[in-house]
Order: sequence, then C-alpha cells, then structure tokens
Amino acid sequence: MSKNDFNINDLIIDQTKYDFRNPEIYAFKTLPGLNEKIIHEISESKNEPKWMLEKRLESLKIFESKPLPKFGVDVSDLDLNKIIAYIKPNAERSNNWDDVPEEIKDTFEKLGIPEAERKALAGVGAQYDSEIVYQNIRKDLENLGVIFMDMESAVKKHPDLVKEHFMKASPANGHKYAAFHGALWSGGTFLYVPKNVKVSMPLQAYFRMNNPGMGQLEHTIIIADEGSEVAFIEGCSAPFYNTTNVHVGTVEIYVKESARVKYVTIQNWSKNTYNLNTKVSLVDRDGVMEWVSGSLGSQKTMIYPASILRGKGAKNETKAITYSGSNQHMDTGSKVIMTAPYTSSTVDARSISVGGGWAFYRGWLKIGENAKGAKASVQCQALMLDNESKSDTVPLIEVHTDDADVGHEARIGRIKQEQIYYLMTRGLSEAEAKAMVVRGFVEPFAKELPIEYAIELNRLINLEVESSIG
Amino acid sequence: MNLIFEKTIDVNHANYKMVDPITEHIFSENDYSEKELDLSNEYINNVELTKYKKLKYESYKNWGFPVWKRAKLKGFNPPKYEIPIAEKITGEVKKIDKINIEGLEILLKYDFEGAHRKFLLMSDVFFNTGFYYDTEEGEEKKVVIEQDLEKTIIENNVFNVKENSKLTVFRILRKSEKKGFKNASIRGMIEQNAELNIININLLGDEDINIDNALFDVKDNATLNIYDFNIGGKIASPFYFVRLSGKNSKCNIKPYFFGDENNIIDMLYLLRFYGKESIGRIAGKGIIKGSSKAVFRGFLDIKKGAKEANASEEEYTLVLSENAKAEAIPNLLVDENEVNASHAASVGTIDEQKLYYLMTRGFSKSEAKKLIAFGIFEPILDEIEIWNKNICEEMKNEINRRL
Repeated sequence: MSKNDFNINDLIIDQTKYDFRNPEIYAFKTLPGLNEKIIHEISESKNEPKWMLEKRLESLKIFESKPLPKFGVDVSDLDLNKIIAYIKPNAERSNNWDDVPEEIKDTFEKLGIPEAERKALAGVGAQYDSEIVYQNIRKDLENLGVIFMDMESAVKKHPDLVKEHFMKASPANGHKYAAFHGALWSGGTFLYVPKNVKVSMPLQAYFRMNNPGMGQLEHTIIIADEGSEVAFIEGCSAPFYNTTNVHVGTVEIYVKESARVKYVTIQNWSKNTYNLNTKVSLVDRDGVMEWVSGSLGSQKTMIYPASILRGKGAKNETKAITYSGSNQHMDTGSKVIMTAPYTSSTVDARSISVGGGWAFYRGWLKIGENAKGAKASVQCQALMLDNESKSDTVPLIEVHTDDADVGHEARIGRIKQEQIYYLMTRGLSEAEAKAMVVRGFVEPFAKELPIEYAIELNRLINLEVESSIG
Repeated sequence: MNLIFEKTIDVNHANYKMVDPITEHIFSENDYSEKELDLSNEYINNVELTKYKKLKYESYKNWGFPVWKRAKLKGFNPPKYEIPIAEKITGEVKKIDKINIEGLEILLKYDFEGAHRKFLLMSDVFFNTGFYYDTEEGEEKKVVIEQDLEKTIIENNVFNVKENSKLTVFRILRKSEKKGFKNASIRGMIEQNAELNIININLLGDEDINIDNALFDVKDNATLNIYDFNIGGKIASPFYFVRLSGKNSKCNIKPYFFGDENNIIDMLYLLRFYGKESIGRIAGKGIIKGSSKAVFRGFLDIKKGAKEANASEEEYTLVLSENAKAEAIPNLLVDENEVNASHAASVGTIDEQKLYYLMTRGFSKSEAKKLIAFGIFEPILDEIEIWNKNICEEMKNEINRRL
C-alpha cells in the first residue's frame, strides 16, 4: 500500500463493529404455555401428594428466573412452548407407526429388529411389551427387598424414600433445564437396592416408555444402600422416534457406603431431538460409581454425567463414547467433583465425528481442599473420519490441594491411510476397513455393554460409516 | 486493507453455533476520560496516531472493566494517570510515536479482544509509553527494555519484523515499593523467513497488576519464540494470541510461572493455525505456593485448511502448599482432520522418591524440596544465561527468595 492510500478515517465503521455490549439472552424466560395452572393440572392428573406439587411449583419459579446456561449448544431454535402444549395431561397424542420418518424405519429394517420390538421402540404399544419384561424381573428381586417401579408409583408407595432423595443430587436451582425438569417431570424409574444385596443381572429401563410422549422428561432415582451392587441400563440401541423433540431427563444416583452402581446409557434419539439431560451421582465412603455413556443420536446433545465423590475412598469411572454424524452437534463430557480424601477417578472419553458432525468434549474435574491423596486422570481421544467434521476438547481441571495426582491427555486425529491400505490389501473394502478401525476405537466402551447391545452398536457403526462414505 | 479481528473463542461449525461465553463488565466512576486523553496526547507528536487514539476512545467508552471470577477482579479503578515514564533501553528501538505508515497499518489491521477488550483499548488509547520494534530486511537486532513499576505503565507496542531478519527483545519489569499497574497492548507481524524472540521477565511484587494483550501474525517460514516468565503479582494476566497464517510458520511458547502468597497468575496462550504445515507448541511449567493460584489456559485452534499442522501443548504445575490452587483449561479445537494435535496437562506434588534420594545424599528435607522446585525453572534460566548473565542471576535470586 502506498502512502496515498492510507486514510485512517476509512476504518471508522469497522472499528466499533466488535464493541458489542454483551447481550443477556433471555430466550424463553417466560413461556405463555407454562404457568401454575398447568402444573396443578399435571399434578392432579397424577394424583400426586401435596409436597410434590409444591416441589414442582418451586421449580417453576426457579425456571422463570434462571438464565440459560452460558455454554454449550445453541438452543435459539428450540421451542419449549410446543413441548409444554404436548405435556398437557389432556393433550391428544398421535404417536403412530405411520408418523415415524422413513429414514428411521429404514434403519430399523437394516438393523433387523423384529416388527413388534420396532413398534415398541417407536413409542407405540410400548407399555405391553415392556410390562412383561418388568414383571419377570420383579418377581425374584422382590424377594431380596429390591424396589423397582415407575416413579409415579414410587411417589405414592414410598413417599419417605422418594422425598429424601428427589432432586437432592440434581437440585432445581442447578441450571435452567433442571428447573424445567423439576416443574414438568413425568415417568421414570425408581430403584432401591437394600443393604448388601447384589443384583446379578443388569436391570433395564425399557419399561419407562410406558407413557409414550411423556417419557422425555423422565426422572430416575437409584439408591444403592450400603454394600449393595447393581447395574442399570437405560435406553435402546435403535433410533427412537418421538413426536416431541426435546429430552430433558434427570438421573440421580445415591451410592452409599461400599456400594457399587454401574449405569449404562445408549442414547440414540432420532436426529430431530434436543437431548439436554442431567445425570448426577453422590458417592459415599468406598462407594464406586461407573458411568458408561454412549451418545449416538439426537440433533443436539448436552450431557455430562457427574460424580460427586464425597466419601473417603470413593471412586468414579467414566467411559464415554460420542458419535457425531451429519447434522449433529454433540456437546458431551464428564464432571467429577472430589471433596473427600483418597478419592479417585478415571475418565476415558472418545468421540467420532463424520459427515460434518461436531463432537465437543467438555469436562470439569475439581479436586477440593479436603481431597488429600486424590488421584484423577482424564483421557480424551477423538477420531475425525473426514474433513467436513469438527472435534474439540475442553477439559477444565481445578486442583485445590497440594496432595493430589492429576493428569490429562487428549489427542485428535484421523484414520491413517496406511491402516486402510493394509486392510484393503487383505481383501476388505474401504468402507469395511474404516468400520473395522472405528470398531477397534470404540472397543473399550463396547466391552462394557451386554452382548446384544455391543452387537447392535457394531452394526450401527457399520451402517453409519458405510453410509457416510457413500 | 483487510482488517482482521480475532475473537478469542471462535467456535462455530457449519450451521451450528456454540453459546458465546459472557464476561460481565462494570463501569468505573474513576475511568479515564477526555481529560486523560488530552494529557496523553501531549506526549505524542504524530497526527495519525492521535487520530487513531481518538477513534479507539469511542470504543473505550462503551466498555466497563471486567469481572474475572478466577482472577478475583470485580471491575477496576484505574490509578491516577501519569505521563510519561522513563525506562532503560539497550539497543536500537523507536518510541511508539515515531511509528511510520507501515507500523500504523499493523496497528490498525489487527484487532482482537485481549485479556479483556477494555484493557486492550486502554493501552490503545491512553498509552504513556510504548515501542515500535522494526527491522530492515536481513537485519539482526537485539533490544532490552527495562522498566519498574514506580509509575503506572500503559504501553502500546508494534512489531514489524521484515523478511529474513531476526529480532530479539527482552522486556524486563521490576516491582517497586508502590502498588504497581502495567497494561500493555502488543501487535506484531513476522514476515517470511524472519524470526522474533520475545523474552518477558516479570518480577512483580505481591500487590502489582500486570496485563499483556498481544496478537502476532506469523507468515510463511517465519518463527516466533516467546518465553514468558511471571513471578508474583496480585494479578498477572498474560494474553498471547498467535496466528500461524503462513505455510510452515512456527511458534513456540514457553511460559514459566511462580505464584506465592496471594498471587494470581491467570494466563492465556492461544495458537490459531491457518497455514499448511504450520507448527505450534505451548509448553508451560510452574510452581504455586502460599495461597496463590495459577490458571493456565492453553488453546490450540486448528482451522480448516491448516493441513499437516502440528499442534501440541503440555503444562505442568507443581503444588507446594495446601492452600495453593492450580487450574488448567487446555482447549483443543480442530476443524481439519489432516493434522497432529495433542495436549496434556498435569498437576502434582513433589515426588517422594526424588525427595528421599536427595535426602540420602545429605540434603535436609526443605533443601531437597527447594532443589526440586528450582529445577522447574532450570530450562529457562539456561536459555537466558546464554543471552544475559546478569538478568539470569537476578531471576535466580528472586526464585530463591520466594522459595
């Protein structure tokens, strides 16, 4: 540029462009559809005790005053009014198989899921099939004193237990969605495992779809009393089509002294779903919490399974896999708060992004002043299968003691051409080779799953990888 | 001229957005105004620069001072305005008011948020000192700037490092008896095959505040090396943003920090990769003791098109007291899949076995601890010793005094 071109005044317009005042976002601060009246209606239709109604109203107040989270996925196109209209007890529900989009039906076909189960997973007639499963399990568990029922029944039959634990691990003032959930929750599971009872087979949460259309705000409480052990699996391994498009569930887990809980999630919502879930576990002395979390579906997800290690020697293990395909923005991660001595935690988070998807890992590890001798490690690995996709890793680590051992590592990369080449020389097609590498990448996660889920996960990977290569 | 505005957090993908983090800001009743602007202009003999300041002042008015949760800052009252300040300069460098058209272009072209927009604009508008570091093509130059916090320092700097040249700059800041305040803005362009080495040595007192707001653009085959040594400070807040915009452009950032008493060292180092085969590395190390706090933000942001970029970050904090707080926020953002990208962060205490070994060799426990802690800074001290023995000794003394 010569001297003659230079005119400082040319720049005036551009300079102020960036001096935005930070606008506070108050989207859906007040929702016309959400008011005390509708809360009363919901509570009445469920025949709830007064304390639960009060809890809902209290949550409503918090919801109205709380700002949106200052991080995570953009929710500006989420219309909660529609959801509220849908949740209304007397609203008409038109869940039928014909409404299920073609792409999902196709996937079901390819997965080879039987007709009856397909219907169940699509939210139609789920009550019937699930009820049988539920009944069968209940018989022998009952003899051990295990309480396993839907949340609505538990509120009536075990009011003291529920009251003591309901929204204590995930209080309504935690964040805006927690408050939204507190006001409108419906359905879900209540599980109590008595002292020293070890439940040998994993319990599954298919049956909580009893109430189609309302399951998207389900509340799950698991209490593992001293010395007990239980594994719990929620979700399904095939896409779930929901007429509404938001899922704001809450899971609260109480791991008492020396108890052990394993919570497995396979989330595969259809790609028109907002999945804004909260999962929190409070772990007492020598308790062990294991999160196995697979986030495969949905359009946008925010999920960070949390463990609060508050008892001496408490332990957390998180294994998470996130799949982000085309038109998906997955903001997933983990949260571990260690407040007691000799607590320990490992987090192994992996993600795959493909076809333009966005996988974002967000972690928070906090080691409090009293957590002497704490040990923690966080490992993140991301695989980008093509150059249209994006992978990000943002772990926050706070250490407030001098006696802790904390490490974090992350790596983002692609499948090496040599790997594919090698496999192709052995007779595999490119798609098969890629799928094989991806299956290897998710293996540590897959082996935590019951065999039928693991098989379906593999099928799903083949399907998605092949379709993404085209 | 294409203006470049680099947002610190710039994460969008296709049609998807991320919620932008919001920093609260508070307006100060004692903020600098037209009066201080006039005062600051008295020292400047450069019409274009005065215009620039006026322009930036319009923006400055719109902002309050930030609320920094981690650095415990709730707004800010700027200290009494003072002009000009004196510093010791060794080597050849122009004061900022001697900036030429080329330098002004750099000043205008590059804009960013800095540690906070308000602090960046403060230095842009109200600087009472600053330098225009330029080199001729093929030239090799070394400059040492020594300042103390006797007076408030508001500094505006521009680096213009021409093709095939090499510039090494020492910026040394020393504490004084007073509660010191320094705030600097830095913009720099490193042209093809050029090399810029910046060595910051900030020896702050426990009540001092020091904020650096820096943006560099590294062109083809050019290299930027930053050593950033921060010791002490009520708030030490270095913000270094580097654009690796050329093919094979390189940047190495080596931060070292030492927090003691109630010191807060809140660091942000960001490498944004645009160029093919660009190489960037952040390797931070430090110690915290007393009730101090270190926040280490290391960002690696690889944009689409930065094929075969090589990005790595590592950070280690040694915690020496139970009230000290270590926080690490490593960010790895990748928009291009043909890259090598990794980061690692760890926080730990002194290894018992090392301690035991040294004690078997006759050191007392506290001597052994000191020895291990001192070892953290060994690499930077070795490097600096090559350039300047006296400064190295001064750093050693300060480290030992604090240990």
